[in-house]
Amino acid sequence: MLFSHSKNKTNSYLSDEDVRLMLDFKAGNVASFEVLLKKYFKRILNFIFRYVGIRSVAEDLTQEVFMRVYKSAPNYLPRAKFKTWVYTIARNTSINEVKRNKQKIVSLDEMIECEGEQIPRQVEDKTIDRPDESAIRAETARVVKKAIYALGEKQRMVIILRRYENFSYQEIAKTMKISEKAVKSLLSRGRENLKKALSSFIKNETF
Amino acid sequence: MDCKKIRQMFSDYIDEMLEDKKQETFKGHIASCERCRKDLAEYQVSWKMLDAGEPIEPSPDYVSQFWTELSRKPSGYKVILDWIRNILLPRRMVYKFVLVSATLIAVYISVFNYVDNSKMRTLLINMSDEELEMIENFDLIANLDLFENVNDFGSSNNLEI
Repeated sequence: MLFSHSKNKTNSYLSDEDVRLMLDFKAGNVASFEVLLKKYFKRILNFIFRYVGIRSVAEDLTQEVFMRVYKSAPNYLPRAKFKTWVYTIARNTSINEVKRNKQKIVSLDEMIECEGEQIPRQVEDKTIDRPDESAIRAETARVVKKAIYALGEKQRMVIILRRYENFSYQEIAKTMKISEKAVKSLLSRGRENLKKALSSFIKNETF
Repeated sequence: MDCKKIRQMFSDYIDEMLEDKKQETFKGHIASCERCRKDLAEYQVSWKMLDAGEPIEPSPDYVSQFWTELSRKPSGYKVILDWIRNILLPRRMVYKFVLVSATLIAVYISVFNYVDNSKMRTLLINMSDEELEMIENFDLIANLDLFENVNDFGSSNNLEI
């Protein structure tokens, strides 16, 4: 019984369109893989970028994630929704990268994207009566990124999956292989820590 | 309900996961407690702030980059790593457990044998030539003892062997 494979569990995921595409790719249709690649590439790229903080690293890791998806095809068996599976691979890849390069921090000199433009992360302190709105937005983005990066790894992961990927508690639990209760707890603590990290910025800007 | 418990409900409230009854209590407290009201406002603003920063776009040729990268021959150690990952490391937990247990048992037996053989070698090195000869002819000596015992028995009973 321990070694038996549950066919019922596998079949329940066949209703997922992306699972069917992956099985189609497994059968030899490479075009199906490219559909999945185009559908998920940007999402995975942003997920990893928000986690590791450096664009070039995020691009390399995203390629690596899809390499693994591609090479997993011969042994692929749907045991979860495709989205959960690919995000799990992305999560594991990101965590391994962070562990390998623990000294890596968010580069304050890195350019960030704001309203389609590349703006230096370090914004000049201009003494003008009406600060440029894009400069405020850029500074906010910098502060937010720093606050997210200051979170513990699990809290960061949960916040990113909930806020940016709109994962449900159940989906987060499956991706991170933890209970829903643990997801709630991590989310609550993560939000509390974010509030503390951003409170002085909030007070300066709004109160 | 005290402020500490109310603050613990902030996260569920933002996610609209509070049960109806709890939501009533929550809203009632927020309406009457200025401190919690301010805290909740900051909580919501900080959550909203995460919208700052546009998502990044992949490079326009990311698809062709992927196929180029895939066609590149991987370095030696990556091939071995992939082989280990795909073939030797099973997916299901129970198979992983069996593999790890079998590996541990094999290592234990090897180490045990090695230690045993090491002790034997040490013992043999410290033995004299006479003692070594005794060990080599252990079977003969064992039979000799038996032979002598039988002889003693025979002589006491006047039997000839």
